[in-house]
Amino acid sequence: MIDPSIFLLSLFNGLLYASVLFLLSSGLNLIYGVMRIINLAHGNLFAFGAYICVWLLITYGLQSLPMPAWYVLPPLVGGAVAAGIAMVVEPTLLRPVYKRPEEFQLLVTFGVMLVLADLLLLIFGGIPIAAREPYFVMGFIDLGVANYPIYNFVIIGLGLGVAIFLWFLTYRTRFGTMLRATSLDQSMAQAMGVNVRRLMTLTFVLGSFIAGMAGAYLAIKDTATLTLGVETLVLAFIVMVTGGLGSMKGAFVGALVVGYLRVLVTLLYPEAELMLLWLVTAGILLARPQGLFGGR
Amino acid sequence: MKPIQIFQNFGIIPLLAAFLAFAPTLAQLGVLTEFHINLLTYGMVFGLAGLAFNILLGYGGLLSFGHAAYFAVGAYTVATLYRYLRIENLEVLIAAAILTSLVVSAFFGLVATRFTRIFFAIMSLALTQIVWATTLKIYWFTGGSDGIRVPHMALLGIEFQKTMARPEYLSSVFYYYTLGVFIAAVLLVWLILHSPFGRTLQATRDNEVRAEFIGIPVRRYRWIAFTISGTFTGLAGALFAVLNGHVTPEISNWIFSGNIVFLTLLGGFRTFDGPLIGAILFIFIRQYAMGYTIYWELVLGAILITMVLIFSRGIMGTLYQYLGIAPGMTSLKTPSIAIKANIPTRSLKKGG
Amino acid sequence: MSGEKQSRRSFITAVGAGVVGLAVGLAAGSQVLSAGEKVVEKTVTLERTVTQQGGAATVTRTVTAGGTARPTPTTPIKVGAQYLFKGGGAVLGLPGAYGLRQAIKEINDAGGVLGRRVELLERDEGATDATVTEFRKLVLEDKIDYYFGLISSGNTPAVGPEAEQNRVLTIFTDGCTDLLFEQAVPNPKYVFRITNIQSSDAFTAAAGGVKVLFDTGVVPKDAKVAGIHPDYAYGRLIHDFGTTMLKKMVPEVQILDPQFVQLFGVTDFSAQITAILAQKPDVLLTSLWGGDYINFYKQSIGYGLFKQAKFITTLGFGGSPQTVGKDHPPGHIMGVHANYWFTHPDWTTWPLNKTFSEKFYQLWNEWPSFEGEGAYVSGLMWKSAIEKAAGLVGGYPDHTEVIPILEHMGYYGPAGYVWFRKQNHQGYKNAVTGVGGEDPTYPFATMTQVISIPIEKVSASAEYPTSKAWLESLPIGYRA
Repeated sequence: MIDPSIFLLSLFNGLLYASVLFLLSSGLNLIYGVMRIINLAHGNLFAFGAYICVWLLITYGLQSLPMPAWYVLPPLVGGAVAAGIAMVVEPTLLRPVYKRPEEFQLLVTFGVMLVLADLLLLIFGGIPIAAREPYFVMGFIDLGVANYPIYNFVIIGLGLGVAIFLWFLTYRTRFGTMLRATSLDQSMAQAMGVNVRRLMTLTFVLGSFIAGMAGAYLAIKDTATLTLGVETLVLAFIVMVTGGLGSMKGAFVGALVVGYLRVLVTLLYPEAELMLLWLVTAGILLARPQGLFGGR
Repeated sequence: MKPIQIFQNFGIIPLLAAFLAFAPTLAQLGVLTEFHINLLTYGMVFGLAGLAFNILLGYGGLLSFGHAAYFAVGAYTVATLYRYLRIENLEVLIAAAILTSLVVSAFFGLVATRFTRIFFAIMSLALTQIVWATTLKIYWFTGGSDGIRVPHMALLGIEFQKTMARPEYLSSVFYYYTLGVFIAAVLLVWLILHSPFGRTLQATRDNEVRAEFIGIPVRRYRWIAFTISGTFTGLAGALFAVLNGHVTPEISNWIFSGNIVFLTLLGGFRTFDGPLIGAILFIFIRQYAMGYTIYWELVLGAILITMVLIFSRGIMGTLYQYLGIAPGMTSLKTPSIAIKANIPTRSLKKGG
Repeated sequence: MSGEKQSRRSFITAVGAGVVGLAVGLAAGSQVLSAGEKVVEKTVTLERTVTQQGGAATVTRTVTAGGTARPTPTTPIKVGAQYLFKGGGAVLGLPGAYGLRQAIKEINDAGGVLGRRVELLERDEGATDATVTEFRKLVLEDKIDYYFGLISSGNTPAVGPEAEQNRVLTIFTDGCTDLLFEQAVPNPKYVFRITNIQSSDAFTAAAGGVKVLFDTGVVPKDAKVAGIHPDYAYGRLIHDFGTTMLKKMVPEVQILDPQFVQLFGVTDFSAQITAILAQKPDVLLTSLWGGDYINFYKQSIGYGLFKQAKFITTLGFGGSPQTVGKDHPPGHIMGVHANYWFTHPDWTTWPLNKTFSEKFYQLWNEWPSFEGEGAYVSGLMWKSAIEKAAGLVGGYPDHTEVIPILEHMGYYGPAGYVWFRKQNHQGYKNAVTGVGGEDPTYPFATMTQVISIPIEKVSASAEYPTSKAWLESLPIGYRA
């Protein structure tokens, strides 16, 4: 009934979307889990990574370097810049509001989101920029009726890689234990000797690094535009709610669910896509507010 | 009553009303321009929206990122009734807008008040995004992203739109009409918030657990407050439709909600008149910031951060605190939205 | 105008204090002056017989003048313009702004308009609400006399009525939706629009596709046509009119369900491309533009969509030429909104194009797009109209004197001959589209085959109230 190559395409696309969503929401979830803050500026950190990467490749000319460097250096720098911004923002703007109600923290990140949006405009200008070579040079696999770009597998691999890394970090390292302890009971963790303040900063920086790096890798496939930030934030949000706030497992599963939902709806009834996503979000909030895996 | 007593009890509202009433005359004198009158009208509309929003935030302790939904419902009711039924009586349109926004906010409120704190904010955001996605996609009804044009309307039965061009209409008769509606709405909200209902609502804000313990049905109060808040926001949206001449889906977006949050914070969310002042300031700041720099979002973001970190009371709040008065509110002790009770409570609540 | 001011004044006097009312009355007298003029108006009725281009016509006009000719003011002319400067639309918006700036520069370098310097006030175009607010500010605060600009079809139907109500002489660069003059401003007085109307755009794309793809046999007569368009007035109209015309010209085509995506709202088109591939189309009609098209074509290459289907685009080459690289597969219909591609008319036969394009490249470091050419020509036509009107009136003309000149005006621009139609204030010039491919002269994709269609063949003539009505009246098998 469905052409096998289309089926394969959809299968891969679902993985692709899921990977993108996971990359976005993993950072958000990490930050929320430990700090109980929903970082509305997360999307724009993602956008920063995207812009830095493309800028390095095109304007700065890093594309003249030998090929493997394209996929390693600019994304790392993109992630580093996002991490750098986080390192500045967290102690100065967020720390003062930890003791205040969560709503204030939300508003601060909203303000940071606005500031970052215009910084992007200021630094990179209004026109979207795109890098072509790194995407095309990888080629594609021939599936008969269509091709599938090999670069997309890089993204899928990245998502999986980050998932494994985060799992390892959270469950197999001392840092991860401290992380889990703090997210369960902050004051108790502090009493046990965890330097909560430093942990929070590190978490925020790590989450932002993931966002920036993800943005960079995605920009190679798409373009870096100003609206990238808000667009991705909204999607990441939906995943967070679906999977459960603060839950990494939830982010993973939630990303798969939302990713495949998008692919399915676009194939069958594309007009409903936008509305459906939000209806699902609202529905999950109603039926199971803590999401699929959230426990708090 | 002595002037100082008036100020203590009613804040800056009498002064504001007087200023707004005399503004067109000032424009005739050349002190203000026609454009300023236009901006003040927007200020009144958004002030109304902020006031309504603050019923939930300042008085109820609930931060909603979804008030754009009711604003949009009100505005689109006016626009679609005009477009499909050619109704040109503003009173009829406003009545319809109040009805639709009441229904929608009652329904959404049922859903949203199951939560508090962050989840409430998220839920309200999701709900307004549903409205946004719907208005965008049902192109055949709402005009999609192109929106619907709304011409000037008959006021109180007099068909001004036939005799006046739009610019003249907006800066004269429509301005006074909006002022009238504005003052009536402000009075109504004042009465509601100073009734036993209002005081009880503030009790639920200050200490949810204790309120529950003394028998107040917290969730029901919140639901009623939500509905009232949404209805007045819809009223603001209806006026906006005629003032703007055009309704588009962006007024149902959560970012638009963010504007309402911002202006309330700017004016002071722990005061009655804070949102009103905040709205007028917001309109003017945004307009002139947009004129001087294309990086006006940066300006807004910076102001927001500063407000939250340093001036969380907002302009009117800081002023009143300095003067040691609290017009319109039961207490002004701390600027927190809700004092955390010592009993560990989960921020997630289900059921009533 | 004085009648309206009367009712306004009396209304305010009724409400305000009595003393203030007296002051209002005194102030009102001085309010009658309009911006920029230093002459006190006295209402004097003059009748004038005017011979205008194309034939003698007796025109009676009520001219408010002080009895003698109005002297030319020495203050600069304030001109407002809004273009998309940010985001995916800047690919079209910036060149438009460049074209206008170039025209103003040339005008000022030659001494201005009747000796008056032109001051250009540029503002951002954005979502409809923000655009209209900025427009109002330009009119009420900056007191512009004339207005150019706008790219988006979502904005012209909103700003058009505002311009009419505020009596601002306007020449829109784009925003070419038929809805502007069919619904939003049905009897335009102050509003004009220079680039070809949208229905012509759809038609030209279809006609180009038929000529290059269907009639040559590249694509079968019963081809399946898929579509992907931005979800707003423009996209919906291109789908509607484009598919209608395709069916008129090649009745056996099968039109598949199209995709509509939010304008500049999607960066990853994977799902949409997959859905299109699932439909197994032979042809893809698309009106995606600016940043959207750049994203889309890039990803389409990755998925091999270009091998599966032939593209018919309405705005593929609509942005700055360098934005579509040599990586774009050749042999597809690359549209320019039916307006202009800088290599056509050929520079040797039409030197005006050569001069303009080279100057444009020198100033802005890129070759002109159709928005640039349109904005440029609108500026020059505007100047020419004012000067002609001044000659007839014997003084600086006001809008009501310039409008009849513009309505009958034709002009030779870089793209060819363009004229305004009196009935709908719409500009018309020959429609252009072409086939994309590689050319060693340029580091980007360019037109290897230009298709130029006389505009009368792809646009409704004046007696049709709507373009749709005309489209439907055409016979099956029509060829443009």
